[in-house]
Amino acid sequence: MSIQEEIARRGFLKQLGAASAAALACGGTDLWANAEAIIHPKAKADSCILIWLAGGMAAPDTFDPKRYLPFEKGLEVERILSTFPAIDTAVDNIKITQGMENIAKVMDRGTLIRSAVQPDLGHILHSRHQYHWHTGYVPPLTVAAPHIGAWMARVLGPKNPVVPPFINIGQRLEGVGEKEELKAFTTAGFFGSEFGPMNLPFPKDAVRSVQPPKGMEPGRFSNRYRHYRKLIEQSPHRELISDYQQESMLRSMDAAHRLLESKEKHAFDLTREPKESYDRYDTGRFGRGCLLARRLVEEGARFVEVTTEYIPFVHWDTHENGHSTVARLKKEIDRPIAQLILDLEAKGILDRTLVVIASEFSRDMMIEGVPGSSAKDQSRARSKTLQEPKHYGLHRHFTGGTSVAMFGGGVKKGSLYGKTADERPLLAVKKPVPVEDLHATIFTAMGISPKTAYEVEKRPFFATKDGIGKSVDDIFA
Amino acid sequence: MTSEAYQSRSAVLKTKPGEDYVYAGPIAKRMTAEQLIDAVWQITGTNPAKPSGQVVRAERTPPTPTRPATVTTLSPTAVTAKWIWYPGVVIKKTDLRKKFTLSTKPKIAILKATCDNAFAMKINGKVVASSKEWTAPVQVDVTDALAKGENVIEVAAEMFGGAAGFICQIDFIEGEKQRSITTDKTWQAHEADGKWLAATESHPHGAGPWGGVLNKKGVSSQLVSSTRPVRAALVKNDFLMRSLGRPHRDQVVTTRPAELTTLQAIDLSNGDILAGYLSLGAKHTASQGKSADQLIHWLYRFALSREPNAEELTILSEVAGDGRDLVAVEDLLWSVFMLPEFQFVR
Repeated sequence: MSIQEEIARRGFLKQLGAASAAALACGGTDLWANAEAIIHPKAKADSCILIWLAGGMAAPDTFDPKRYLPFEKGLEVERILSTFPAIDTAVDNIKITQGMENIAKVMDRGTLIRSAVQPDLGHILHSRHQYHWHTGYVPPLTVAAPHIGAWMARVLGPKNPVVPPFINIGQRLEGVGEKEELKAFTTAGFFGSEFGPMNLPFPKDAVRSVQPPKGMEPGRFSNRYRHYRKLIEQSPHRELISDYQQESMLRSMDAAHRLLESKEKHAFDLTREPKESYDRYDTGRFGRGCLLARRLVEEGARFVEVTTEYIPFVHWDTHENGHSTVARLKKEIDRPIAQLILDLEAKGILDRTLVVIASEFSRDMMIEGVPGSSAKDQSRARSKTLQEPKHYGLHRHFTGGTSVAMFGGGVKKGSLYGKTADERPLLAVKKPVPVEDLHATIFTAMGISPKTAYEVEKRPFFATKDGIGKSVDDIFA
Repeated sequence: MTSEAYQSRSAVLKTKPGEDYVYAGPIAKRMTAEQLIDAVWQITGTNPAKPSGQVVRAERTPPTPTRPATVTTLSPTAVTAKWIWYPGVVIKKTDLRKKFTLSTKPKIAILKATCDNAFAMKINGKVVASSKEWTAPVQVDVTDALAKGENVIEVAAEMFGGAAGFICQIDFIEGEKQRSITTDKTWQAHEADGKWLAATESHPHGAGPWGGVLNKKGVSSQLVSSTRPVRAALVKNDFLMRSLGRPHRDQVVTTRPAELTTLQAIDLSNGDILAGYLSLGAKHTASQGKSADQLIHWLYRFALSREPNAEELTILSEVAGDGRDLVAVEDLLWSVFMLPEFQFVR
């Protein structure tokens, strides 16, 4: 066969566009074949937005109000459970805390889980708990565990073939401390980077990720690619490299250029949002992240994580001044989260979009970890009584009872699940939900069996720890 | 393994080999992130000046107090060079040269140079530096270019308009003594097909329209360095390398991703880091005064170890324009770097 004929036979160049979606499903790893056939549940949602309040969001100061005592000099800190008073929500039996008035108004659109629990991992390290929450496995591991977003990208593939299936908004992976740990779970692990996150740390700059390089006008960009494709067709050395390798490489180049020249890329451009709507979200980087997430999901993103960003001792990681810090954070998250739910609803996609609001654990005024834990007290404002404002806040990490809110995606509307004790220790006393069950629930909503397993060196690796995660089906409508 | 296996042609497969694959020859493999970046650096001349950390490869020997290890460093020296040009009426293009003798090969020699507006410099026939931006002087280690005995520096200098001047200083250690070679009236200037004349000193360094440009802080060692290039594996992981599959330090991996992913393709198509290498590389190659045709042939030989065929030449001529437009050269470099033929090694 002559080179010319060989090239003619390889008509794949012309068909790449059509083939891309299917081809994404043929990555490096294989499904585990030695077990019973996996039957995926029927999907209740097509997209998932994870709102990650990194650093340990104190449930008693947010979604799970307890006995409130205002700041008063000399007050015994032991008596304080919450530093914010409770407020009513759109649902009679659900109260949350002051500063979350907008979220309160949309509580009738979702389910609030108050009994999420985390394992006692000894000395509290946010990155270990965050790794656990995002992958379902406690580090260190012998396998690079994939992020739940990577599971969705791997099992479900992109919803819209042009839009990357796993997008991570708001978290810098450099220069914010614990960077190696952050990077370790912000990955597709053994699935390989095809299923890894597209990282957009700054929502305002997101558009730059899908634009031609700085200073290159679009005409030159598409021209360059056109010449490149012509050049490949003429290369006499094409027959020396295997078809599947070239096809895969050109498919990726093609997918990249399709996104970079698509209408969907405008979803990354926040300047295209009407000003009025933009302003409603614009409480800062996180708020703009919520707006970006909404725009991306509208265009068919599969999984989007938006975070307030984890930086040690900053944001939700309150080791002192907890009350004033949380008051500030509420201003940042309250409006955009509520607006996101309302917008998704108004656009008719809330029912098929699962929104999860979560954090790696809760916080408590007194207890580090859970009662009896060997975890070290890491408060930076230790005092038996309140002497100055910096003492006022929940400064210890608590793993015994955490709130997770879920909206859309087939969950019950205006519903409450689980309960924590009314007095310290504020442990989950009803229907505790460990991380693997929470993941099983999220996966179930997305139409992925919690028992799904892929082969890693002849052994199965499951979507939820060892395949044991049980979906909390009670929360579904 | 026998030499036959080494010399065998690579196996070409239509589909990905499975468990039942029977060895028929090596399969082409995509370069790792570090290999690809090394290759790009090599061609664009953008190797970093220094590794991130010191790697000591020699066997560890106990220090001997009688012969302490000496590190050759230059002491800071004032720039005494003068701005020079062809004498008489200021002409646009001049060649400059200087011959000098060294009693021994220098232990270290650092060149600082700049020209209003552009120059390319050879030492003993070897290109050591070039620039088109007088405000960004070149600083390079030229130790390896110098030799014992007679040495010759040749400079092709060009002025685009306005003031004209070339200045350079090579500080070096000859034996135990530090010396300098500086531009001054002992240099010779030469007009196309003309006679070699003594160069004119227009201003000392620090004066004239250019000021003390060679003293600029952070004069970077740019483009051409005669020292051994620093490999990508010896510098810290950056966004581009991570995207291309270089693992995090804390992740133990035994294989690298075999396939280019969409997100990687996006980074290769619009990422700032690669765009930066392309831009520097274009400046570098364009300043060598090659025609578009020469440029394409050079690039194919360097990058792909072959000549372009007629069709490729036609397509790339459209891309490269006259070979002097930096934007066009950037696009030329990109097109070749993105070829599977470049990215897969056999």
